[in-house]
Amino acid sequence: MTEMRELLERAADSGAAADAAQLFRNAAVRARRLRRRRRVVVTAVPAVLAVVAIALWWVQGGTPSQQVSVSPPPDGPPATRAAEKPDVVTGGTQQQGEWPVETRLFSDGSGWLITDHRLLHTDDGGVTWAASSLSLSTPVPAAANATAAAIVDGQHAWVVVPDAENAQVLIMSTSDGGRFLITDVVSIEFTPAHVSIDFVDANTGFLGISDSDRSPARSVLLSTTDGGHFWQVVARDGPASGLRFSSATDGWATGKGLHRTSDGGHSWTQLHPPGWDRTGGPDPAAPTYDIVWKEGRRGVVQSSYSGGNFVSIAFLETSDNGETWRDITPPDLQHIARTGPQPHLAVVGPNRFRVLVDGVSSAAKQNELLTSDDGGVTWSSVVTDVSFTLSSLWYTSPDVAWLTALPVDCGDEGCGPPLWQSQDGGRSWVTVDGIPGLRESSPSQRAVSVSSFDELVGVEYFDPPPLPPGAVYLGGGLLGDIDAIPVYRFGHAQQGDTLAIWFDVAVAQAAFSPNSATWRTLDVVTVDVGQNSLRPDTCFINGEYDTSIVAVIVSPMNVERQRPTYAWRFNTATQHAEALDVRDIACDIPHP
Amino acid sequence: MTRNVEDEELFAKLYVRLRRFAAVVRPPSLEAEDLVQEALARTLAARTLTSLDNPEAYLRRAIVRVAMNEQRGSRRLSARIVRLGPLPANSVDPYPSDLSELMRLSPEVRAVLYLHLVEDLPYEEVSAILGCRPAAVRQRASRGLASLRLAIEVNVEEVR
Repeated sequence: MTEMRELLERAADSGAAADAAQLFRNAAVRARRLRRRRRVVVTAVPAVLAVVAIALWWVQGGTPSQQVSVSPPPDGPPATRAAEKPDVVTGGTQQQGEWPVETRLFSDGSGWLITDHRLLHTDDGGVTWAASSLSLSTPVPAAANATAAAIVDGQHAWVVVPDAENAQVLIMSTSDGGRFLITDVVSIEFTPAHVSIDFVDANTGFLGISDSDRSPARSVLLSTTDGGHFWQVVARDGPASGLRFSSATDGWATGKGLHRTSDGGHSWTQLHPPGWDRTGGPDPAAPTYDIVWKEGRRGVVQSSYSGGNFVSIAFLETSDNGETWRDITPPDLQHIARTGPQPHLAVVGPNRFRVLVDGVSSAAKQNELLTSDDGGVTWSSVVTDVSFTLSSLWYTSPDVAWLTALPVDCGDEGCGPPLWQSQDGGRSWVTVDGIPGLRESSPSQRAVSVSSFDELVGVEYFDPPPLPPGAVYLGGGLLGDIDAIPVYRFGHAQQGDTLAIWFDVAVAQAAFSPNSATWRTLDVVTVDVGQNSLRPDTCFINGEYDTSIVAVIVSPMNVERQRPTYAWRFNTATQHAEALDVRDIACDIPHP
Repeated sequence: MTRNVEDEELFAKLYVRLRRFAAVVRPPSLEAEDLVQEALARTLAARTLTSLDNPEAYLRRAIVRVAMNEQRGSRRLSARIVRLGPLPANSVDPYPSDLSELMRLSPEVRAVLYLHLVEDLPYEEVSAILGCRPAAVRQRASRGLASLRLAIEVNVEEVR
């Protein structure tokens, strides 16, 4: 050990020390340059991009785009034809599979649209959009559904992307409306799968990184007080998802339950909204929470309880920082088991709630708008003129509402516009144009979370999935939607293995091969697509109740005897289904 | 007294210790003074030293981060050099002594070893300075020491 110490001492004493005062003056000058650097880039980037854009436009034949309406940066050069070609401005490549991650519009007209590829900024309430100078997909192209973003105002935004391969998280930030992005890297000790970020103001923020969204085993919470220049570890293996802070000390987080901190995340107290201890479903951490709105001691959360193949939802409000709760779920939505799209709640202000319900549950198959201005005591309903599967809903004023729609009605021409705006409080909606690339995008091979299976990651395929060479692919092509419910599938195939299963939630069928050579189509009676379905969470297999069973398949010849032949358990570590040796099984059989 | 003068005086008091620390954690491409200066500049770009609760710990962490960033950049440069072809035969090892074994460790590991072995700080304090868990600090120290011992033993064997 002495030898080591001597070695380190020698290293510490190596070289000649410079004058401290001179070094400080040099550092102060460089610090001023670092601060000024953003301003320099702000003025330089539009000019450089304009030159590049003009050149590319010229090479491409100089045909002006008719559909594009992106405005030049406010303090940039005068509008040119180059500024009318934002695809060129952002690098000239078609963005495939691009989808909104976070959108926010402010009352002064400024706003953001952050996709999994780009960061777009508007100064005119979303009429025109300008792309940032850096493509978000540059560092981690495959992290589409894991991206998180925090938006403070029209100038400050942060985008976080987990890089699981390198056990690090990329943080991109801007303080000038997206014209210049700073990329920073935070290395962590586990594989990041989920990130959450929230900023109280332009300086104070929190970043949560975990290895899972709902049931993390490893997590770390970091905080910054200088806008993200430096992040320091606040807590480990505690709540780190769904971060929502109302001050530098007070905040909420989700993960295994709903939690509250009053010391900046160092310690957390679990909150107990109604139904917090509800158990019996396949997810031991149920119910899960999404923080819809938080302002001071008031807040609204969405509670989702997974009962296997359905999710029941409740909207809960507190005005004393989580000590007591009130169920504000509209009466029409209570006791509804959902297998697909969910209702979305937006808070216009204290006691002013809006719920947009997908078309599945309404008789007209169009989205239904529920309105309450008395804290959820009474609700009024109106059928809208559209039918969406919502991704997010928010209001910038009681009249002006925005939403992003999920890619449901995808055909060969794409999935339809993802961003919509309403000027009448949500009754009628129009598409928001002027965002090149977004409209033409498709979610080909883009993983989406399946809300009806918390344990599964469903994959909505436009094309055959990327299977190992030689593996057998069952199914193919998107079946489309059934009564506006997106078709979710879970597939698994292996070559040279005894297990190969593919089941389709929508059509309730599966194919099974005991040897990867011969295939039999079997009825799936476990997936909750009708009234007479078995639910795997009602099955006792080999005398035990196993909450991780995700599929039970009955071969046709055994249907009458109601003895399923095969069962699978989903292994969250390997993300694969594992076949079970079923010796004995008993399931509840629901009756119509 | 302006904040700038206060910062300068504070830095003067910390400089010797910071420079020694930087000399240990520095990447081969940076001198210790440059590393301290860059860490100080990045800190001053965001805030004053006097506004920090523990400016020495803050600067030390900044030094490690700058060193790690620089090392990553050096690796990318090395990869490019490898693609271009081998270095000239007369190129010299920048660390022609047993210090080279130390410098092969990552800046974070060197920081842990220095703070624990030279400054006699307990692992808990080291973890607070570097912003990582005590267990991770212990692990880094253990791995660093093991790899240093191995390297030194190999050198001794070669000399015999």
